[in-house]
Amino acid sequence: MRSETSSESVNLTPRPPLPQGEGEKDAPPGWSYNPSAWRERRLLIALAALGFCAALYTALYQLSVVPHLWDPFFGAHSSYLVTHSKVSKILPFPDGVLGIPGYLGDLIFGSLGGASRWRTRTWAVLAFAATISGLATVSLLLTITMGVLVHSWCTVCLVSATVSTLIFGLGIGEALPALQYLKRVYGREHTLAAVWRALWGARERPAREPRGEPALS
Amino acid sequence: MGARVITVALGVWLMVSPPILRYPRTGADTIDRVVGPIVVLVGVLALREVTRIARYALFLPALFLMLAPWFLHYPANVELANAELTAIAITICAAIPGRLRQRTGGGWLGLLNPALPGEQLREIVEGGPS
Repeated sequence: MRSETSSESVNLTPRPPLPQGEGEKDAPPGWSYNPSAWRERRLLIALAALGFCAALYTALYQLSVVPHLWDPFFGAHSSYLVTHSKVSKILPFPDGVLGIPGYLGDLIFGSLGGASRWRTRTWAVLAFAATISGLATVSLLLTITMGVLVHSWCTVCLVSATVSTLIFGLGIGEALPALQYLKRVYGREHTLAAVWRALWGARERPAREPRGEPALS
Repeated sequence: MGARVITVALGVWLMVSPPILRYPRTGADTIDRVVGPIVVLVGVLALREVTRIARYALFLPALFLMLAPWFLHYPANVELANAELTAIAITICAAIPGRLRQRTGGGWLGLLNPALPGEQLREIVEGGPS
């Protein structure tokens, strides 16, 4: 194990100042970059928009609004078997519909707040993390279902699964500074009420926090 | 990062290998199609340094893939060889930490450590490893 577990050992040698890129001045304490910076989030939002289109297209096909589902790799019949399988009808509505609010949530929660949102809109960061985790889990289960139960594949469904996997893998890291922030607030105030207020972005007063991250009022 | 890209490719390989290697529809193809997407998901998760710790989770599906042939009695050597070789490759990739240059305020394990991020965090901010 290397530096992901090396936090317990502390090197007191001063480090050279970090390069200050876009949003870096709002970087969380102890971070060498800012996971909430727009530079980090742009790709995730673009992927969420792509996933939303794929989910909408699949849902419209499942609801018979669109007559055909484009599938250049596995063919229309294979796509039909996947999108009209028993598994796709477990819910009262076609499973493709699930992706629409999911990706919409990704778009909304991923876009809210600025570069310091890990601290100012902690709830949005955690809501984003919950949404992308849920979508990734559902996509994983649907991909396994395609291969194991339906024995057929669907290109648009796989595109959607790939997109949600990428958003999850590349975006879940932003939850870490938000959780660290809430932990710091609890460590300082020792009340869940303070954590609750911090979660919703309560304004703070300057105090003991390192690097200008002030204490909760 | 290279090890993670290979891991994702191995996961995709598991998903597509049953038709390519012409498996009969036995337990082997099911195992590959269950383990493959899991390996892809965890491999993508471990791509970024902040979540690189997820690479340890790859040992579990690799172990499962390694042991499955002995419990399910795979009918042909090709399925056995594919499972074992892929499992070994996933294990090797998971064991490679890759380049870690970013600091992440103590990482995910820091959340579990009651000593962080009080005084220790300050020391980290002033110049310690992540």
